[in-house]
Amino acid sequence: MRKNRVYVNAYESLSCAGDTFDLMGAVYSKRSGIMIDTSYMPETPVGLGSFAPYEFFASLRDVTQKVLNQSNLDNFHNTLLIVGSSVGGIAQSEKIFFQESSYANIDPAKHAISVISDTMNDTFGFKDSRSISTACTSSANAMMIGQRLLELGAYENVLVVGADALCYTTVCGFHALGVLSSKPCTPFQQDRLGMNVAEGIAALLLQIKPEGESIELCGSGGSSDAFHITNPDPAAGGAIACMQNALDDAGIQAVDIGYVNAHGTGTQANDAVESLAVQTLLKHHPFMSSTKAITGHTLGAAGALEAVISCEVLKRQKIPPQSALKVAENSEVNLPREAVDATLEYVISNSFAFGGNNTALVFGVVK
Amino acid sequence: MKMNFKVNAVAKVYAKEKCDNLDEKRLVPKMMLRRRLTRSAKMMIYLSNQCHFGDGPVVYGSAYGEMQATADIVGAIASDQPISPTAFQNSVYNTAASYFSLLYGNRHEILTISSGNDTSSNVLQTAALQAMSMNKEVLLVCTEALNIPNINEVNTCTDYLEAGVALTITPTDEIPNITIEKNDHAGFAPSLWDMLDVVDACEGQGDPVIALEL
Repeated sequence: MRKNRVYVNAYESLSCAGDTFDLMGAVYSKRSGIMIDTSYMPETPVGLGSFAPYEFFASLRDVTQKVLNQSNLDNFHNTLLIVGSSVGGIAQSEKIFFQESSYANIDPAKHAISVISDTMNDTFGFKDSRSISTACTSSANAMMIGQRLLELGAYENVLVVGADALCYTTVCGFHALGVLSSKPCTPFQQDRLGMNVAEGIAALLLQIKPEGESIELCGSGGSSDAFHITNPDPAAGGAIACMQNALDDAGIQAVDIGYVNAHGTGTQANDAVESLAVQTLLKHHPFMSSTKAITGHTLGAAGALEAVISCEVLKRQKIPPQSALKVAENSEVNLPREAVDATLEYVISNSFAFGGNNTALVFGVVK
Repeated sequence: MKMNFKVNAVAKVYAKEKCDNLDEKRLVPKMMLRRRLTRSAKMMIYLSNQCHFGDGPVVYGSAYGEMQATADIVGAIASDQPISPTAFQNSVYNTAASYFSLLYGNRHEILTISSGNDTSSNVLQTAALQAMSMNKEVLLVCTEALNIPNINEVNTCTDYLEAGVALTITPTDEIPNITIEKNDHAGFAPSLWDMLDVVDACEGQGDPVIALEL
Protein backbone atom coordinates (compact mmCIF):
# COMPACT_ATOMS: atom_id res chain seq x y z
CA MET A 1 0.00 0.00 0.00
CA ARG A 2 1.34 3.43 -0.98
CA LYS A 3 1.49 5.63 2.09
CA ASN A 4 0.77 9.35 2.30
CA ARG A 5 3.54 11.63 3.46
CA VAL A 6 2.78 13.57 6.63
CA TYR A 7 3.51 17.23 7.26
CA VAL A 8 3.44 19.46 10.31
CA ASN A 9 1.67 22.50 8.87
CA ALA A 10 0.93 24.61 11.95
CA TYR A 11 1.81 24.57 15.63
CA GLU A 12 1.88 26.59 18.82
CA SER A 13 2.92 25.98 22.39
CA LEU A 14 2.92 27.42 25.87
CA SER A 15 5.41 26.56 28.57
CA CYS A 16 7.22 28.30 31.40
CA ALA A 17 9.42 29.82 28.70
CA GLY A 18 6.39 31.45 27.02
CA ASP A 19 4.83 30.83 23.61
CA THR A 20 6.78 29.23 20.77
CA PHE A 21 8.44 32.48 19.69
CA ASP A 22 9.59 33.30 23.22
CA LEU A 23 10.52 29.67 23.86
CA MET A 24 12.92 29.57 20.94
CA GLY A 25 14.47 32.86 22.05
CA ALA A 26 14.99 31.32 25.49
CA VAL A 27 16.36 28.08 24.01
CA TYR A 28 18.99 29.82 21.88
CA SER A 29 19.99 32.31 24.59
CA LYS A 30 20.06 29.58 27.31
CA ARG A 31 17.44 31.38 29.44
CA SER A 32 15.64 28.85 31.64
CA GLY A 33 11.98 29.35 32.50
CA ILE A 34 12.34 27.33 35.68
CA MET A 35 11.64 29.06 39.01
CA ILE A 36 12.43 27.84 42.51
CA ASP A 37 9.19 26.98 44.27
CA THR A 38 8.24 26.27 47.89
CA SER A 39 4.45 26.29 47.53
CA TYR A 40 4.16 22.57 46.78
CA MET A 41 6.56 21.42 49.48
CA PRO A 42 7.34 24.27 51.93
CA GLU A 43 10.31 22.44 53.47
CA THR A 44 11.81 21.45 50.13
CA PRO A 45 12.56 24.05 47.45
CA VAL A 46 12.25 22.57 43.96
CA GLY A 47 12.70 23.95 40.47
CA LEU A 48 9.32 23.99 38.68
CA GLY A 49 8.07 25.31 35.36
CA SER A 50 4.78 27.20 35.43
CA PHE A 51 3.00 29.40 32.90
CA ALA A 52 0.98 31.16 35.63
CA PRO A 53 -0.94 33.46 35.68
CA TYR A 54 -2.40 31.84 32.56
CA GLU A 55 -5.07 29.27 33.47
CA PHE A 56 -4.57 25.76 32.08
CA PHE A 57 -7.85 25.13 30.26
CA ALA A 58 -8.12 28.70 28.94
CA SER A 59 -4.56 28.32 27.65
CA LEU A 60 -5.45 25.00 26.03
CA ARG A 61 -8.19 26.72 24.03
CA ASP A 62 -5.95 29.69 23.25
CA VAL A 63 -3.06 27.56 21.94
CA THR A 64 -5.47 25.51 19.82
CA GLN A 65 -7.16 28.63 18.40
CA LYS A 66 -3.73 29.97 17.39
CA VAL A 67 -3.01 26.75 15.48
CA LEU A 68 -6.39 27.02 13.74
CA ASN A 69 -5.61 30.65 12.82
CA GLN A 70 -2.25 29.60 11.31
CA SER A 71 -3.77 26.72 9.36
CA ASN A 72 -5.56 26.42 6.03
CA LEU A 73 -8.70 25.23 7.87
CA ASP A 74 -11.82 27.22 8.73
CA ASN A 75 -12.60 24.93 11.63
CA PHE A 76 -11.68 21.52 13.07
CA HIS A 77 -14.92 19.76 12.06
CA ASN A 78 -13.04 17.44 9.69
CA THR A 79 -10.07 16.93 12.02
CA LEU A 80 -9.23 14.09 14.39
CA LEU A 81 -7.99 15.28 17.78
CA ILE A 82 -5.38 13.10 19.49
CA VAL A 83 -4.48 14.21 23.00
CA GLY A 84 -1.43 13.05 24.91
CA SER A 85 -1.54 13.68 28.64
CA SER A 86 -0.26 11.92 31.74
CA VAL A 87 -2.41 13.55 34.44
CA GLY A 88 -5.55 14.91 32.73
CA GLY A 89 -7.72 16.72 35.27
CA ILE A 90 -6.11 15.49 38.46
CA ALA A 91 -5.09 19.00 39.55
CA GLN A 92 -8.79 19.86 39.93
CA SER A 93 -9.58 16.62 41.78
CA GLU A 94 -6.70 17.14 44.19
CA LYS A 95 -7.86 20.64 45.00
CA ILE A 96 -11.36 19.42 45.88
CA PHE A 97 -10.05 16.50 47.92
CA PHE A 98 -7.58 18.65 49.86
CA GLN A 99 -10.37 21.10 50.75
CA GLU A 100 -13.12 18.59 51.54
CA SER A 101 -11.34 15.29 52.43
CA SER A 102 -13.99 13.60 50.29
CA TYR A 103 -14.50 12.50 46.70
CA ALA A 104 -18.18 13.53 46.74
CA ASN A 105 -17.76 16.72 44.70
CA ILE A 106 -15.20 15.33 42.27
CA ASP A 107 -16.68 14.91 38.80
CA PRO A 108 -15.12 11.70 37.39
CA ALA A 109 -15.32 13.13 33.86
CA LYS A 110 -13.26 16.13 34.94
CA HIS A 111 -10.73 13.94 36.75
CA ALA A 112 -9.99 11.70 33.77
CA ILE A 113 -7.44 12.20 30.99
CA SER A 114 -10.37 12.77 28.62
CA VAL A 115 -11.27 16.09 30.29
CA ILE A 116 -8.77 17.67 27.88
CA SER A 117 -10.41 16.32 24.71
CA ASP A 118 -13.88 17.00 26.18
CA THR A 119 -12.91 20.63 26.78
CA MET A 120 -11.54 21.01 23.27
CA ASN A 121 -14.50 19.25 21.67
CA ASP A 122 -16.87 21.62 23.45
CA THR A 123 -15.00 24.59 21.98
CA PHE A 124 -13.95 23.40 18.54
CA GLY A 125 -16.20 20.43 17.61
CA PHE A 126 -13.64 17.97 16.28
CA LYS A 127 -14.71 15.17 13.93
CA ASP A 128 -13.47 12.58 16.41
CA SER A 129 -11.03 12.39 19.27
CA ARG A 130 -8.96 9.97 21.29
CA SER A 131 -6.56 10.31 24.20
CA ILE A 132 -3.28 8.55 24.87
CA SER A 133 -1.73 8.30 28.32
CA THR A 134 1.64 6.58 28.42
CA ALA A 135 3.16 8.92 31.02
CA CYS A 136 6.01 10.98 29.55
CA THR A 137 5.68 9.54 26.03
CA SER A 138 1.95 10.38 25.81
CA SER A 139 2.07 13.10 23.19
CA ALA A 140 5.01 11.56 21.29
CA ASN A 141 2.81 8.49 20.91
CA ALA A 142 -0.06 10.76 19.87
CA MET A 143 2.21 12.08 17.09
CA MET A 144 3.09 8.51 16.06
CA ILE A 145 -0.55 7.43 15.88
CA GLY A 146 -1.48 10.61 14.00
CA GLN A 147 1.27 9.93 11.47
CA ARG A 148 0.13 6.34 10.89
CA LEU A 149 -3.54 7.30 10.48
CA LEU A 150 -2.66 9.96 7.91
CA GLU A 151 -0.27 7.66 6.07
CA LEU A 152 -3.08 5.13 5.59
CA GLY A 153 -5.58 7.83 4.61
CA ALA A 154 -7.92 7.26 7.55
CA TYR A 155 -8.15 11.04 8.16
CA GLU A 156 -7.27 14.22 6.26
CA ASN A 157 -6.26 16.30 9.27
CA VAL A 158 -5.01 15.34 12.71
CA LEU A 159 -4.45 17.81 15.54
CA VAL A 160 -2.07 16.43 18.15
CA VAL A 161 -2.21 18.14 21.52
CA GLY A 162 0.16 17.43 24.39
CA ALA A 163 -1.02 18.96 27.65
CA ASP A 164 -0.20 18.51 31.31
CA ALA A 165 -0.79 20.84 34.26
CA LEU A 166 1.30 21.07 37.40
CA CYS A 167 -0.20 19.11 40.28
CA TYR A 168 0.77 17.87 43.73
CA THR A 169 0.64 14.23 42.66
CA THR A 170 3.47 14.60 40.16
CA VAL A 171 5.59 17.14 42.05
CA CYS A 172 5.42 15.23 45.35
CA GLY A 173 5.57 11.87 43.55
CA PHE A 174 8.81 12.65 41.75
CA HIS A 175 10.14 14.01 45.05
CA ALA A 176 9.35 10.62 46.61
CA LEU A 177 11.49 9.02 43.93
CA GLY A 178 14.33 11.37 44.87
CA VAL A 179 14.78 12.76 41.36
CA LEU A 180 13.74 16.43 41.71
CA SER A 181 16.32 19.17 41.39
CA SER A 182 16.26 22.13 43.76
CA LYS A 183 17.70 24.25 40.94
CA PRO A 184 17.06 24.59 37.20
CA CYS A 185 18.02 21.19 35.80
CA THR A 186 21.33 20.57 34.05
CA PRO A 187 20.84 17.69 31.60
CA PHE A 188 23.93 15.62 30.77
CA GLN A 189 26.04 17.53 33.33
CA GLN A 190 28.43 15.33 35.31
CA ASP A 191 27.10 16.31 38.76
CA ARG A 192 23.44 16.94 37.80
CA LEU A 193 20.85 17.13 40.57
CA GLY A 194 17.75 15.82 38.84
CA MET A 195 14.71 17.03 36.94
CA ASN A 196 12.21 19.92 37.05
CA VAL A 197 8.50 19.13 36.76
CA ALA A 198 6.73 21.66 34.55
CA GLU A 199 3.41 22.34 32.88
CA GLY A 200 3.09 22.66 29.15
CA ILE A 201 0.74 22.69 26.19
CA ALA A 202 1.69 22.09 22.57
CA ALA A 203 -0.54 21.59 19.54
CA LEU A 204 0.54 20.50 16.05
CA LEU A 205 -1.62 20.16 12.95
CA LEU A 206 -0.62 17.14 10.82
CA GLN A 207 -1.81 16.97 7.21
CA ILE A 208 -1.00 15.00 4.07
CA LYS A 209 -0.17 18.01 1.89
CA PRO A 210 2.53 20.58 2.70
CA GLU A 211 1.46 24.19 3.27
CA GLY A 212 3.90 27.09 3.28
CA GLU A 213 6.69 26.44 5.76
CA SER A 214 5.87 22.79 6.44
CA ILE A 215 8.14 20.33 8.19
CA GLU A 216 7.77 16.64 7.38
CA LEU A 217 7.09 14.08 10.08
CA CYS A 218 9.18 11.46 8.35
CA GLY A 219 9.08 8.59 10.79
CA SER A 220 8.28 7.35 14.24
CA GLY A 221 9.11 4.30 16.28
CA GLY A 222 8.29 2.84 19.66
CA SER A 223 9.64 0.12 21.90
CA SER A 224 9.42 -1.21 25.44
CA ASP A 225 12.38 -1.76 27.75
CA ALA A 226 10.78 -4.68 29.63
CA PHE A 227 13.37 -3.90 32.31
CA HIS A 228 11.95 -1.93 35.28
CA ILE A 229 8.77 -0.01 36.09
CA THR A 230 10.62 3.34 36.30
CA ASN A 231 14.34 2.88 35.66
CA PRO A 232 15.56 2.64 32.08
CA ASP A 233 17.43 -0.38 30.80
CA PRO A 234 21.10 0.50 31.54
CA ALA A 235 22.14 -1.23 28.32
CA ALA A 236 19.88 1.26 26.48
CA GLY A 237 18.27 -1.50 24.44
CA GLY A 238 14.81 0.09 24.42
CA ALA A 239 16.09 3.58 23.65
CA ILE A 240 18.21 2.30 20.76
CA ALA A 241 15.33 0.18 19.44
CA CYS A 242 12.83 3.05 19.27
CA MET A 243 15.35 5.33 17.55
CA GLN A 244 16.25 2.60 15.04
CA ASN A 245 12.54 1.93 14.42
CA ALA A 246 11.97 5.62 13.75
CA LEU A 247 14.93 5.78 11.35
CA ASP A 248 13.66 2.68 9.53
CA ASP A 249 10.18 4.15 9.33
CA ALA A 250 11.61 7.36 7.88
CA GLY A 251 13.69 5.37 5.40
CA ILE A 252 16.91 7.11 6.37
CA GLN A 253 20.26 6.10 7.84
CA ALA A 254 21.60 7.04 11.26
CA VAL A 255 24.22 9.25 9.58
CA ASP A 256 21.43 11.44 8.13
CA ILE A 257 20.47 12.76 11.58
CA GLY A 258 21.94 16.21 12.21
CA TYR A 259 20.49 16.94 15.63
CA VAL A 260 19.05 14.95 18.52
CA ASN A 261 16.46 16.72 20.64
CA ALA A 262 17.08 14.56 23.67
CA HIS A 263 14.60 13.42 26.29
CA GLY A 264 17.34 14.65 28.67
CA THR A 265 15.42 15.01 31.91
CA GLY A 266 18.48 15.74 34.04
CA THR A 267 18.08 12.58 36.14
CA GLN A 268 21.10 10.36 36.64
CA ALA A 269 19.49 7.32 35.06
CA ASN A 270 17.86 8.87 32.01
CA ASP A 271 20.77 10.98 30.83
CA ALA A 272 23.35 8.22 31.20
CA VAL A 273 21.22 5.73 29.28
CA GLU A 274 20.18 8.19 26.56
CA SER A 275 23.81 9.24 26.04
CA LEU A 276 24.76 5.59 25.67
CA ALA A 277 21.94 5.05 23.17
CA VAL A 278 22.95 8.03 21.04
CA GLN A 279 26.66 7.15 21.26
CA THR A 280 25.89 3.58 20.18
CA LEU A 281 23.43 4.24 17.37
CA LEU A 282 24.53 7.61 16.00
CA LYS A 283 28.25 7.01 15.62
CA HIS A 284 28.78 10.16 13.52
CA HIS A 285 28.39 12.36 16.66
CA PRO A 286 25.45 14.55 15.67
CA PHE A 287 24.70 17.53 17.89
CA MET A 288 22.46 16.74 20.84
CA SER A 289 20.82 18.88 23.51
CA SER A 290 17.95 18.74 25.94
CA THR A 291 15.63 21.73 25.90
CA LYS A 292 14.19 20.59 29.24
CA ALA A 293 16.90 22.82 30.73
CA ILE A 294 14.68 25.67 29.48
CA THR A 295 11.14 24.24 29.72
CA GLY A 296 11.48 21.68 32.50
CA HIS A 297 9.89 18.28 32.00
CA THR A 298 6.33 18.83 30.84
CA LEU A 299 5.60 15.09 31.25
CA GLY A 300 2.83 14.01 28.86
CA ALA A 301 3.17 17.26 26.91
CA ALA A 302 6.92 16.87 26.40
CA GLY A 303 6.80 14.89 23.16
CA ALA A 304 4.57 17.47 21.47
CA LEU A 305 6.45 20.46 22.92
CA GLU A 306 9.76 19.03 21.72
CA ALA A 307 8.19 18.25 18.35
CA VAL A 308 7.47 21.98 18.08
CA ILE A 309 11.08 22.76 19.02
CA SER A 310 12.35 20.20 16.48
CA CYS A 311 10.29 21.86 13.72
CA GLU A 312 11.66 25.27 14.70
CA VAL A 313 15.23 23.94 14.67
CA LEU A 314 14.74 22.66 11.12
CA LYS A 315 13.16 25.93 9.95
CA ARG A 316 15.87 28.06 11.54
CA GLN A 317 18.71 25.64 10.65
CA LYS A 318 20.17 26.38 14.03
CA ILE A 319 21.12 23.86 16.73
CA PRO A 320 20.03 24.68 20.29
CA PRO A 321 22.86 24.76 22.81
CA GLN A 322 22.89 22.55 25.88
CA SER A 323 21.96 25.13 28.45
CA ALA A 324 23.67 25.04 31.85
CA LEU A 325 26.29 22.52 30.78
CA LYS A 326 29.74 22.83 32.36
CA VAL A 327 31.27 19.35 32.37
CA ALA A 328 29.53 16.63 30.41
CA GLU A 329 29.23 13.21 32.00
CA ASN A 330 29.73 11.45 28.67
CA SER A 331 32.31 13.07 26.39
CA GLU A 332 31.29 10.78 23.49
CA VAL A 333 28.10 12.77 22.82
CA ASN A 334 28.27 16.10 21.02
CA LEU A 335 26.66 18.68 23.33
CA PRO A 336 27.11 22.21 21.90
CA ARG A 337 27.80 24.92 24.48
CA GLU A 338 26.46 27.62 22.15
CA ALA A 339 23.89 27.74 19.34
CA VAL A 340 25.32 26.41 16.07
CA ASP A 341 24.28 27.38 12.55
CA ALA A 342 24.06 24.17 10.56
CA THR A 343 22.71 22.57 7.41
CA LEU A 344 20.11 20.19 8.79
CA GLU A 345 17.97 17.70 6.91
CA TYR A 346 16.73 15.49 9.75
CA VAL A 347 16.19 15.83 13.48
CA ILE A 348 15.27 13.04 15.88
CA SER A 349 13.31 13.74 19.06
CA ASN A 350 13.33 11.20 21.89
CA SER A 351 10.75 10.58 24.59
CA PHE A 352 11.03 7.95 27.32
CA ALA A 353 8.54 7.11 30.06
CA PHE A 354 7.71 5.08 33.15
CA GLY A 355 7.21 1.44 32.34
CA GLY A 356 10.05 1.55 29.84
CA ASN A 357 7.83 3.09 27.17
CA ASN A 358 10.02 4.65 24.46
CA THR A 359 9.15 6.72 21.38
CA ALA A 360 11.30 8.53 18.83
CA LEU A 361 10.10 10.91 16.11
CA VAL A 362 12.08 11.89 12.99
CA PHE A 363 11.39 15.28 11.41
CA GLY A 364 12.84 16.52 8.13
CA VAL A 365 12.91 19.49 5.80
CA VAL A 366 10.40 19.10 2.95
CA LYS A 367 12.02 17.84 -0.26
CA MET B 1 -11.72 3.59 6.99
CA LYS B 2 -12.65 0.01 7.84
CA MET B 3 -10.37 -3.03 7.72
CA ASN B 4 -10.98 -6.69 8.43
CA PHE B 5 -9.45 -8.64 11.30
CA LYS B 6 -9.47 -12.18 12.59
CA VAL B 7 -10.35 -12.38 16.25
CA ASN B 8 -8.03 -15.06 17.60
CA ALA B 9 -9.05 -15.12 21.25
CA VAL B 10 -11.39 -13.33 23.63
CA ALA B 11 -11.63 -13.13 27.42
CA LYS B 12 -13.33 -11.17 30.16
CA VAL B 13 -13.30 -11.09 33.93
CA TYR B 14 -15.45 -9.15 36.37
CA ALA B 15 -16.66 -9.01 39.94
CA LYS B 16 -18.84 -6.74 42.03
CA GLU B 17 -15.91 -6.02 44.32
CA LYS B 18 -12.75 -8.05 43.66
CA CYS B 19 -11.89 -10.68 41.06
CA ASP B 20 -10.76 -13.60 43.21
CA ASN B 21 -9.33 -16.03 40.71
CA LEU B 22 -6.71 -14.16 38.70
CA ASP B 23 -4.21 -17.02 39.05
CA GLU B 24 -1.43 -14.61 39.94
CA LYS B 25 0.75 -17.06 41.88
CA ARG B 26 1.12 -19.26 38.83
CA LEU B 27 1.29 -16.44 36.30
CA VAL B 28 3.69 -14.26 38.31
CA PRO B 29 5.93 -16.67 40.21
CA LYS B 30 8.34 -13.97 41.43
CA MET B 31 6.91 -12.72 44.69
CA MET B 32 8.71 -9.34 44.54
CA LEU B 33 7.07 -8.56 41.24
CA ARG B 34 3.71 -10.04 42.19
CA ARG B 35 3.34 -7.95 45.35
CA ARG B 36 3.91 -4.73 43.40
CA LEU B 37 1.19 -5.42 40.83
CA THR B 38 -1.89 -3.24 40.79
CA ARG B 39 -5.35 -4.75 40.46
CA SER B 40 -5.48 -3.69 36.81
CA ALA B 41 -2.08 -5.26 36.20
CA LYS B 42 -3.29 -8.55 37.70
CA MET B 43 -6.40 -8.45 35.51
CA MET B 44 -4.32 -7.65 32.44
CA ILE B 45 -1.91 -10.53 33.07
CA TYR B 46 -4.81 -12.92 33.66
CA LEU B 47 -6.65 -11.80 30.52
CA SER B 48 -3.55 -11.93 28.32
CA ASN B 49 -2.93 -15.47 29.54
CA GLN B 50 -6.52 -16.39 28.72
CA CYS B 51 -5.81 -15.02 25.21
CA HIS B 52 -2.51 -17.01 25.01
CA PHE B 53 -0.59 -13.81 24.29
CA GLY B 54 2.79 -12.87 25.74
CA ASP B 55 4.83 -11.25 23.00
CA GLY B 56 3.73 -8.58 20.52
CA PRO B 57 2.25 -5.10 20.29
CA VAL B 58 -0.34 -4.16 22.91
CA VAL B 59 -3.05 -1.54 23.13
CA TYR B 60 -4.36 -1.14 26.67
CA GLY B 61 -7.17 1.12 27.83
CA SER B 62 -8.63 2.50 31.04
CA ALA B 63 -10.82 5.53 31.56
CA TYR B 64 -9.76 6.13 35.15
CA GLY B 65 -6.36 4.49 35.37
CA GLU B 66 -4.80 3.39 38.61
CA MET B 67 -7.37 4.66 41.12
CA GLN B 68 -5.89 3.00 44.23
CA ALA B 69 -2.39 4.35 43.65
CA THR B 70 -3.76 7.82 42.91
CA ALA B 71 -5.96 7.74 46.04
CA ASP B 72 -2.98 6.60 48.14
CA ILE B 73 -0.85 9.50 46.88
CA VAL B 74 -3.49 12.19 47.32
CA GLY B 75 -4.41 10.79 50.74
CA ALA B 76 -0.78 10.86 51.84
CA ILE B 77 -0.32 14.45 50.70
CA ALA B 78 -3.55 15.53 52.42
CA SER B 79 -2.39 14.03 55.71
CA ASP B 80 1.23 15.20 55.45
CA GLN B 81 2.48 11.64 55.18
CA PRO B 82 5.34 10.52 52.90
CA ILE B 83 4.32 9.20 49.50
CA SER B 84 5.18 5.61 48.74
CA PRO B 85 7.53 5.52 45.73
CA THR B 86 5.76 2.34 44.64
CA ALA B 87 2.40 4.15 44.72
CA PHE B 88 3.80 6.86 42.46
CA GLN B 89 5.41 4.37 40.10
CA ASN B 90 2.07 2.56 39.92
CA SER B 91 -0.03 5.68 39.37
CA VAL B 92 0.52 6.22 35.64
CA TYR B 93 -2.10 4.97 33.21
CA ASN B 94 0.30 2.58 31.47
CA THR B 95 1.19 0.74 34.69
CA ALA B 96 -0.78 -2.43 33.94
CA ALA B 97 0.61 -2.76 30.44
CA SER B 98 4.13 -2.04 31.69
CA TYR B 99 4.01 -4.84 34.27
CA PHE B 100 2.76 -7.13 31.50
CA SER B 101 5.80 -6.20 29.39
CA LEU B 102 8.14 -6.73 32.36
CA LEU B 103 6.68 -10.15 33.12
CA TYR B 104 6.99 -11.47 29.59
CA GLY B 105 10.04 -9.51 28.41
CA ASN B 106 7.80 -7.95 25.75
CA ARG B 107 9.78 -5.22 23.93
CA HIS B 108 7.11 -4.30 21.37
CA GLU B 109 5.18 -1.04 21.19
CA ILE B 110 2.67 -0.63 24.01
CA LEU B 111 0.05 2.13 23.88
CA THR B 112 -2.46 3.17 26.52
CA ILE B 113 -5.74 4.83 25.63
CA SER B 114 -7.83 6.82 28.09
CA SER B 115 -10.80 8.36 26.31
CA GLY B 116 -13.51 8.34 28.96
CA ASN B 117 -16.58 6.36 27.90
CA ASP B 118 -15.05 5.93 24.43
CA THR B 119 -11.97 4.19 25.79
CA SER B 120 -12.61 0.67 24.50
CA SER B 121 -13.95 2.02 21.20
CA ASN B 122 -10.66 3.90 20.77
CA VAL B 123 -8.67 0.83 21.86
CA LEU B 124 -10.34 -1.12 19.05
CA GLN B 125 -9.53 1.64 16.53
CA THR B 126 -5.94 2.08 17.69
CA ALA B 127 -5.27 -1.65 17.81
CA ALA B 128 -6.67 -1.96 14.28
CA LEU B 129 -4.23 0.73 13.18
CA GLN B 130 -1.32 -0.96 14.94
CA ALA B 131 -2.18 -4.36 13.48
CA MET B 132 -2.40 -2.85 9.99
CA SER B 133 0.80 -0.80 10.35
CA MET B 134 2.86 -3.73 11.63
CA ASN B 135 0.94 -6.63 10.05
CA LYS B 136 1.07 -8.42 13.40
CA GLU B 137 -1.22 -9.90 15.98
CA VAL B 138 -2.13 -7.25 18.58
CA LEU B 139 -3.43 -7.73 22.11
CA LEU B 140 -6.23 -5.41 23.23
CA VAL B 141 -7.04 -5.11 26.93
CA CYS B 142 -9.36 -2.75 28.79
CA THR B 143 -9.72 -2.77 32.56
CA GLU B 144 -11.31 -0.65 35.26
CA ALA B 145 -10.38 -1.17 38.91
CA LEU B 146 -12.66 1.09 40.91
CA ASN B 147 -12.84 -0.83 44.17
CA ILE B 148 -11.21 1.75 46.44
CA PRO B 149 -12.46 2.97 49.82
CA ASN B 150 -15.26 5.54 49.52
CA ILE B 151 -15.72 5.04 45.77
CA ASN B 152 -19.46 5.16 46.35
CA GLU B 153 -19.09 8.91 46.93
CA VAL B 154 -18.62 9.27 43.17
CA ASN B 155 -19.74 5.97 41.61
CA THR B 156 -23.36 6.08 40.50
CA CYS B 157 -23.52 3.61 37.62
CA THR B 158 -20.92 0.85 37.96
CA ASP B 159 -21.88 -2.37 39.77
CA TYR B 160 -18.80 -4.33 38.71
CA LEU B 161 -16.02 -2.41 40.42
CA GLU B 162 -13.40 -4.69 38.89
CA ALA B 163 -13.80 -5.64 35.27
CA GLY B 164 -11.59 -6.34 32.30
CA VAL B 165 -12.01 -7.46 28.71
CA ALA B 166 -9.44 -8.62 26.14
CA LEU B 167 -9.05 -9.96 22.63
CA THR B 168 -6.34 -10.49 20.05
CA ILE B 169 -6.68 -9.49 16.41
CA THR B 170 -4.75 -10.12 13.20
CA PRO B 171 -5.28 -8.34 9.85
CA THR B 172 -6.97 -10.48 7.22
CA ASP B 173 -8.37 -10.29 3.68
CA GLU B 174 -11.26 -12.54 4.68
CA ILE B 175 -14.80 -11.18 4.64
CA PRO B 176 -16.35 -10.40 8.06
CA ASN B 177 -18.64 -13.15 9.33
CA ILE B 178 -19.67 -11.44 12.55
CA THR B 179 -21.63 -8.22 12.87
CA ILE B 180 -20.95 -6.19 15.98
CA GLU B 181 -24.01 -4.57 17.51
CA LYS B 182 -23.95 -1.97 20.22
CA ASN B 183 -25.52 -3.24 23.42
CA ASP B 184 -26.20 -1.92 26.89
CA HIS B 185 -23.87 -3.56 29.39
CA ALA B 186 -25.59 -2.23 32.47
CA GLY B 187 -23.46 -2.48 35.58
CA PHE B 188 -20.16 -2.31 33.68
CA ALA B 189 -18.17 0.88 33.30
CA PRO B 190 -19.17 2.38 29.92
CA SER B 191 -15.47 2.57 29.00
CA LEU B 192 -15.59 -1.23 28.51
CA TRP B 193 -18.80 -1.49 26.50
CA ASP B 194 -17.49 -1.46 22.93
CA MET B 195 -14.98 -4.24 23.59
CA LEU B 196 -17.61 -6.19 25.48
CA ASP B 197 -19.77 -5.96 22.33
CA VAL B 198 -16.96 -7.56 20.30
CA VAL B 199 -16.09 -10.20 22.89
CA ASP B 200 -19.71 -11.22 23.39
CA ALA B 201 -20.29 -11.44 19.63
CA CYS B 202 -17.15 -13.53 19.01
CA GLU B 203 -17.23 -15.79 22.07
CA GLY B 204 -17.86 -19.40 21.04
CA GLN B 205 -17.75 -18.63 17.30
CA GLY B 206 -15.52 -20.72 15.01
CA ASP B 207 -13.19 -18.32 13.22
CA PRO B 208 -14.64 -14.88 13.78
CA VAL B 209 -13.71 -12.13 11.34
CA ILE B 210 -14.83 -8.58 12.10
CA ALA B 211 -14.50 -5.15 10.48
CA LEU B 212 -12.97 -2.36 12.57
CA GLU B 213 -12.63 1.36 11.93
CA LEU B 214 -9.06 2.66 12.09
